[in-house]
Amino acid sequence: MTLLAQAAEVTAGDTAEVTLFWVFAVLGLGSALAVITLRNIVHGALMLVLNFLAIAGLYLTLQSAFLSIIQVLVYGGAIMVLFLFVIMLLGVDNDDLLQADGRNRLLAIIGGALLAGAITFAFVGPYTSAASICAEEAPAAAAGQYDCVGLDYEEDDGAGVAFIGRSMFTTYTYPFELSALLLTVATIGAVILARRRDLTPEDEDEVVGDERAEPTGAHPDDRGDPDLVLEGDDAGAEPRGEG
Amino acid sequence: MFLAQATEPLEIPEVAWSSFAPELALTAAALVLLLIAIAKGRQQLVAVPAAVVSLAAGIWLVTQQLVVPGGVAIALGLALPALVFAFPRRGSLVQAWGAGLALVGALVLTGWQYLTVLEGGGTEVATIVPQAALAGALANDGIAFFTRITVYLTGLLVVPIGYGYLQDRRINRAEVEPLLLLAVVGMAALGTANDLITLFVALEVLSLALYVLAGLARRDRRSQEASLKYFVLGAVASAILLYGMALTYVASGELALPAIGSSLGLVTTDRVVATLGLALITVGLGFKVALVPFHLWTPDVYQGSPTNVTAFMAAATKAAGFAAILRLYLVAFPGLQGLWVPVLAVLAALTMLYGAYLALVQRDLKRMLAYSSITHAGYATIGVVAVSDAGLSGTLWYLLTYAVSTLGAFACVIAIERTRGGEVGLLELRGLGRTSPAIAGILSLCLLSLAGLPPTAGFVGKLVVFQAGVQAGLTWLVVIGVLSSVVAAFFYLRIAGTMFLEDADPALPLPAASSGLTVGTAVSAALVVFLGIQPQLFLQVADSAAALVR
Repeated sequence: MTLLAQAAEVTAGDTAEVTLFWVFAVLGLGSALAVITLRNIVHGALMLVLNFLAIAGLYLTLQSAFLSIIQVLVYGGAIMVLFLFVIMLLGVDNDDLLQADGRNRLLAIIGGALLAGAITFAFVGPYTSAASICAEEAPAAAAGQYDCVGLDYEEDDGAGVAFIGRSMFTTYTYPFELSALLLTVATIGAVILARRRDLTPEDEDEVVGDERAEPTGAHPDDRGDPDLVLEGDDAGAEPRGEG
Repeated sequence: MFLAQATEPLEIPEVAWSSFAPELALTAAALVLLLIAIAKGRQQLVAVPAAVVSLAAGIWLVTQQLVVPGGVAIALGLALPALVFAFPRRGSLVQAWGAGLALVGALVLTGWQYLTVLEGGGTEVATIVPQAALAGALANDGIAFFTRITVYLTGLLVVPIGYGYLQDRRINRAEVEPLLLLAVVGMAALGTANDLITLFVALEVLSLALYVLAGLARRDRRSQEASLKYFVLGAVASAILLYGMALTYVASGELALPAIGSSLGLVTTDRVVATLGLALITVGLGFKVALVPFHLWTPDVYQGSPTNVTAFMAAATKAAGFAAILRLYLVAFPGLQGLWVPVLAVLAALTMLYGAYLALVQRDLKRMLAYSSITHAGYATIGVVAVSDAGLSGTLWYLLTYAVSTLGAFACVIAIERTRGGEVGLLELRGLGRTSPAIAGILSLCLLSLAGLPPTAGFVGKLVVFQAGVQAGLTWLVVIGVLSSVVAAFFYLRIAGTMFLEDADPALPLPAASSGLTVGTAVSAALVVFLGIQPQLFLQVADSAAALVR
């Protein structure tokens, strides 16, 4: 905690910002703890929403409005809806997943501590050590020193929106178009996996006789339509809308 | 508030279409094939307009002095309505032929690109002049061209090999070929990706397509399991990889790989964060190519997926994954060479030994080939840790030889699987050499190539990689590689022995090949022999491929 506060005091300097930082930091850490300690899984999910919102607030104090809005939309909105949907689908009372044996818990604690230590060491450490220069009118970092400025994009555009848009259509045209392909693939995949007409897995079928009874030795899952299979058509239906 | 801001007009940079022409052609083909699948009875309504557009584009390209791409566009445009006309009630044949022709077109376009950037046209000292395009997002250098060749060739062989198999299992859905084409596009894009964002998006394109293809046989439990396992573990690996990329960005402040490389070479750059990023990237990519501590998904996924998808995964994904590894480590992380060379060398040693050891005790042929693919990832890594031009071209060449050999082996598995159903165990191969000598012979040939015995492609592949390893002073690694090859040769030869020396079980049905399977298998086997006897042609291409956009 002292580490974060130190970092906040050094970078922000402004009282309003420091106050906001403390509010959001306490909210974020508290809700994160609540997520893993609350027994009720729905309460935990709601605490996760609070955590996302607190992090969005932290982004706002860092003057990154775009990131903050995206955080609320994507995490607080889309991802949390999916989370809650799955929780409701599996059953709210189903708390088997919460049981962890001692060995797993120990491993989780060790892993978490290692990750936290590595992140603190790599990110927070350099900026709070003697080698960092975070004063207002600091000169550019020399060798072995750490500059406080992380991402220096142009300051005068609206919180990075125009910047992101511009780079998406200039520097990153190719990956941008490629991500359209990614969405196409995902859509096709969803259509394939969510097709309506589907049979039970072969090993759930009633087994008649021994497995080699079929003379052609056809594959276990060979029951279906003769030629090309396309989603959305009922079996044997003629092409609709003729004439 | 943001909308009210005055914005200066944006200068849209010129797009170098030729730099990703093969991918563009394949994407267009995939989308047209999808539309044709949707059109059902009225396919000409899609085919004719698409053909007209393609012809017009082709003619325009020819008038712009771009004869080859124009010719490809015209040929594909003419082929489309002809295919629909030729196979009026066989939608899946249109799909398969369309996909195959599009892949041929992509190979032609790749050759055209290669000859364009080749300096000194065809003489022996010809070298590639690497070109970056699209604001550095994409690099047309040796890795790009060789990955394209390997991946497109694999796709071209997988389409006929898998056609009859998909029909037999009744999983020949209309989306298979377009999905396969899009996966191929993702792999080729991964081979050309020259910044972290492009690299990640391309990796996700191919991964998503493969997750779906692995679960194609939805009525088969093992296919479901394979798909889910691949998806969950793959998503975790992608997340780890992305975390590593983010840390690399934090350390270097750059996204383009050459810029990261020069930034990490500076003294002021934060080594700790860069090392963390490098470690996470190693984990993420190690998963994709199945290096040993991260290989656990491979046997189950390879065994459960439809066999043609397994063949595609084994041959093409490995080539694409290693393209990304080569480019990342040689272009972006040369500054941290002292860190990753020992780590990757140890991983390679572990991979070779552990894969060979576990393949030894397998009874199922697909599972054994899965462990063998893990072993081969180890051999290919030797070329990476050699950090030399010889190692780079060696790895690229090795991946090509591995791809054709493993495709041939899986094609034979398909031929056996077609009539016997389910899994192909070692016992079921008894006496195959007497009852169906052609399939047994080709399977033995491909296994010999995988083992690395002299007259085959695999021998030249191993030779080149091991040479590069010795030159780089990694003799201990090469010794381990040779040891592992000996162990591996034992189980490859055991299969050949089972087929030729033991008596056949007369109750077992004979393997049968469809025409597509025959062609695909024959071409793979011919390539295995041709690349083994006449490696000079492609070795020259591989040697000239050792030029990177840095």
